[in-house]
Amino acid sequence: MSPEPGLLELVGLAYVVAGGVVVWRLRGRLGWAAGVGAFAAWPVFLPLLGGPSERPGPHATRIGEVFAALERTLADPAAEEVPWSADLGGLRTALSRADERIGLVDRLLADAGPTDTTPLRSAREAAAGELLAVLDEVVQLRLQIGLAALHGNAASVRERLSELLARAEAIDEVSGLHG
Amino acid sequence: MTSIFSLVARVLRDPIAIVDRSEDPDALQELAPRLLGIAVVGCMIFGTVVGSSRGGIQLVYAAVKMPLLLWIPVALALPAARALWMACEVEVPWSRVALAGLVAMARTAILAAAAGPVLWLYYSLSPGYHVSVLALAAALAAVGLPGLGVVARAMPAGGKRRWLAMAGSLVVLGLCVAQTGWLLRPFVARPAGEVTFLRPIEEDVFSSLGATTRSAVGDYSQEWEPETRGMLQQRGGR
Amino acid sequence: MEHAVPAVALAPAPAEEDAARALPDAATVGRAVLGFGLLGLCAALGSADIAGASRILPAALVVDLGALVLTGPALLVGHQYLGLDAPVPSLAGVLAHAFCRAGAVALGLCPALLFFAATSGLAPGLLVLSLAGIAFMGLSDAFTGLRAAEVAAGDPKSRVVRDAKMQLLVVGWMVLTALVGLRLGFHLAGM
Repeated sequence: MSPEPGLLELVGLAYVVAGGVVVWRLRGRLGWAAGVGAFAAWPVFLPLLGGPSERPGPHATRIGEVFAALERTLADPAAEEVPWSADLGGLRTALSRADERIGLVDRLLADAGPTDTTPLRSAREAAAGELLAVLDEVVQLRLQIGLAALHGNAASVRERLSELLARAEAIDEVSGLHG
Repeated sequence: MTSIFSLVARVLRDPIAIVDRSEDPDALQELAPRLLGIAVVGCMIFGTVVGSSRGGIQLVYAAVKMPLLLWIPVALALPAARALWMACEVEVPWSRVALAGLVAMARTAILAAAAGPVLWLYYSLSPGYHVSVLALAAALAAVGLPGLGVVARAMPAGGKRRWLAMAGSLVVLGLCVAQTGWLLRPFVARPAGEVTFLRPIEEDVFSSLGATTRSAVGDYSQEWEPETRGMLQQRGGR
Repeated sequence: MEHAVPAVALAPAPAEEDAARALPDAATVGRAVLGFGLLGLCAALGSADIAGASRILPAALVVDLGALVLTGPALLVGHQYLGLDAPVPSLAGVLAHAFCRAGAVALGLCPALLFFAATSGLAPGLLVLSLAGIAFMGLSDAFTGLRAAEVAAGDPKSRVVRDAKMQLLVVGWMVLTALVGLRLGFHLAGM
C-alpha cells in the first residue's frame, strides 16, 4: 500500500464525512432508508438543513403552483415575444419573502400565549389577503400573455408585471414592519 | 409500494410537476429518498444487463457500479449548473436544482431499466468488446437525453443568455459522465481479460478514446501506454 | 418579426437595474474571490509537481481579477474622455457584479475540477477551459450591463449616439481585457 493517501482518497473521505454530518443534522427527521440515502447522496438533502429563516410560508405551495403554470405558459414558443425579463423572478422572490414573513408571524402568534395579538393578527390577515390577491392577479396574467401573443400588446404585460412587483414589495415592507 | 409505482408513473409522465414541489421541505424529504431508490434500482437492473455481456461476478460488479455512473456526474455538475444559471440571471434555489437532478436521474434509470432487454438481446448475439462498449454508450446517451430534458425544463423562465447556461451545464455534465465512466470501468469486461471491480486509475478518458476508436476499426499501429499523472494521484496498492 | 421584443424591453425593471449597478457587498465579493482561489487550488492539486502547482494555484484569481483591475480604470477614463453620461459608480458597479457572477461560476465549477484533479491529469487544461468560459460569460455580462447603464443615463435624445460610442468603447475594453488576461496567463505558465 502507498504510505500517503492520494487525492482521490482524501476527496472520498471528505465526501463521507460531509455525508455523516448531514445525516447527523437530519437525525430524527429521516427513516433509516432515507438516512442511508442522505448519507450517500447528501448534496440533494442540503436544502433540508435550512434554518428557520428559510422556512417557507403558508402559501409556498400555492406560489409554486401559480408560478410554475406561468412559467410553462411563458416557455411556450407562441409566447416567446412577450417581454417578461427578470421581473418574474423578482415578483416570485418578493411574494415568497412576504410569505415567509407571514409564516414567521404565524409562529409568533402560536407562541404568543395570553398576550393581546390583535394588531399583529390583523396585520397578518391584511398581508395574507394582499398576497393572495396578487397571486390571483398573476393567474390572470396568463390570460393577458395569451392576448399579448395574439395581438402583440406586449407592453401591457410588462406594465402589469411591474405593478404586481410593486404590490408584492409593498406587502413585504408592511409585513416586515409588523413582523 | 403503490406510492412508489405512482411516483414512477409521475416521473415518466409529468416530471416537472414533481420538481415544482421543491420549495416544500416536507415534499423534498418525502420525495428525495424515493427518487434515489428508484434511480438505484433502475440503474442496478441496467447494470445487471450490461454485466451479462460477460456473466459471472461481472453481473454484480456492473450492477453495483451503474448507480454511481449516474450519481457522481450529477453531484459534480449540479453546483456548476446552478452557478451558470444564476450567472445568466435565472434565480433558481438549490432545492429545485437538486430535485431536478434527482428526477432526471430517476427518469434516466427507469428508461435504462426498460431498455435493458433490448441491450441484453444485442449482447446475446456476442458482439465484439469494443462494439459492446459503444452499444452501452449509445444506450446510455439514448436514455440520458430525456433525463437531461427534465433539468432543462425545470429551470425557471427568464434570464439572459439561457443557451449559454444550458450549453455550459451540458459540457460540464458530459465531461463528468465521460470521466466517471472511465474511472468506474469495466462495465463490459474484456472476453479474455481478468474480471476486476475497478481498474487502476491511469491517464484519462480522452486519451483512451482515440485508442478505442483505432482498435474498433482494427488499427493497432500505435500502442497506448497509460500513465498516472498528478501530484496526489497515487492510489493504494500501486 | 412585427412584434419582436426590443433589447430595451428585455432589460431588468428599474429597481433591479439600480441594484445591478450598485457596488456588491463585501460578502458577495469575498465569495467571488474565494471561488477563483478555490478553482486554482483544485487545479493545482492535479498538477504533476510543486513548481507547477505553485504556478497554477493563483492563476484563476490573478488572470480574472488582474485583468479587471488593470483594464477597469482604462474603461472609466475612456468613458469620461468620450463625454458619455453614465455615472462612474454605476459603471464600477456593473464591472464588480460581472466579476462576482464570474466568481460564483468559478465556485460552482470547483467540485468538478477537483474530481478531474483527483482522477486524471486534465485539471490544468480544464482550468484554462473554465477560465475561458468564465471570461466569456463575464465579459458578455459586462457588455450588456455597461450598455444598459449608458442608455439609462443622460438625455434620451442623444441615446443612439451615446449607445454607439459606448458599444465601441466596451468592445475595445473587452479585447484589451482578454489580451491582458491572456498575457497574465502566459506569464504564469512561464511562457
